[in-house]
Amino acid sequence: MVHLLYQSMTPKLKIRKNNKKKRGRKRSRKKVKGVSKVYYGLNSKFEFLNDLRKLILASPSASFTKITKKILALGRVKLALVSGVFLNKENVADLMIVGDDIDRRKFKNFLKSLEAEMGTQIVYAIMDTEEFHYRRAMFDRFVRLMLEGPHEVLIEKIEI
Amino acid sequence: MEISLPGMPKQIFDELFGSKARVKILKFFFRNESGFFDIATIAKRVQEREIVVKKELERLLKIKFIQKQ
Repeated sequence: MVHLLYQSMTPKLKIRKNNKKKRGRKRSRKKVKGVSKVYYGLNSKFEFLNDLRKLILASPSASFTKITKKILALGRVKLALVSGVFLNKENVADLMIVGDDIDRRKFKNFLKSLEAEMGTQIVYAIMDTEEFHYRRAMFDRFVRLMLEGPHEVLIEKIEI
Repeated sequence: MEISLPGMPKQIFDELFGSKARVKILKFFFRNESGFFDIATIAKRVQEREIVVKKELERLLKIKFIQKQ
């Protein structure tokens, strides 16, 4: 079971990243074909672009207390950390949740609203407690990078 | 309204920029700087109704913050 979970999770991470990059290009190609749809994008010549970017990206996106509350409602969550886009720092994923009996449907809705709030797709990882311990024990690269990199702990009910 | 310390920063932004949707759309464009998106996609990604998004886009277009393609 642990092995299966491992396999199913890793490609998901990659796929989400790829999608993000392709979207812009694909859409603009469509337009060349003469589809009458209008596409909107940032105007790189906008006068206050740099100042506004600084301000907007520094603005708090979602309060961590609120996120924590929502994550706790997903199931028996043992560990939750945020990184990446939440802290404006680089890490392998933006969100990692360890827990059992996580309601996947609830999680999907939670993710959607979180992505809307953040304005970007969120690279995440969910695993059960058993898998987490297994990965820790074998010095799994993903978990190690996540814990060693910049991150903020939201929920911590097991030792890390 | 959620009370969070200090000074409820998120609400400050929503108020300052006039609407929650607008803040989300601005953020969306900065987080996807080189991309071009149709209204339906933007609405889905920021979780707002298309009509709301359309109005905001028209405003942003008028001040040339964004451009059409």
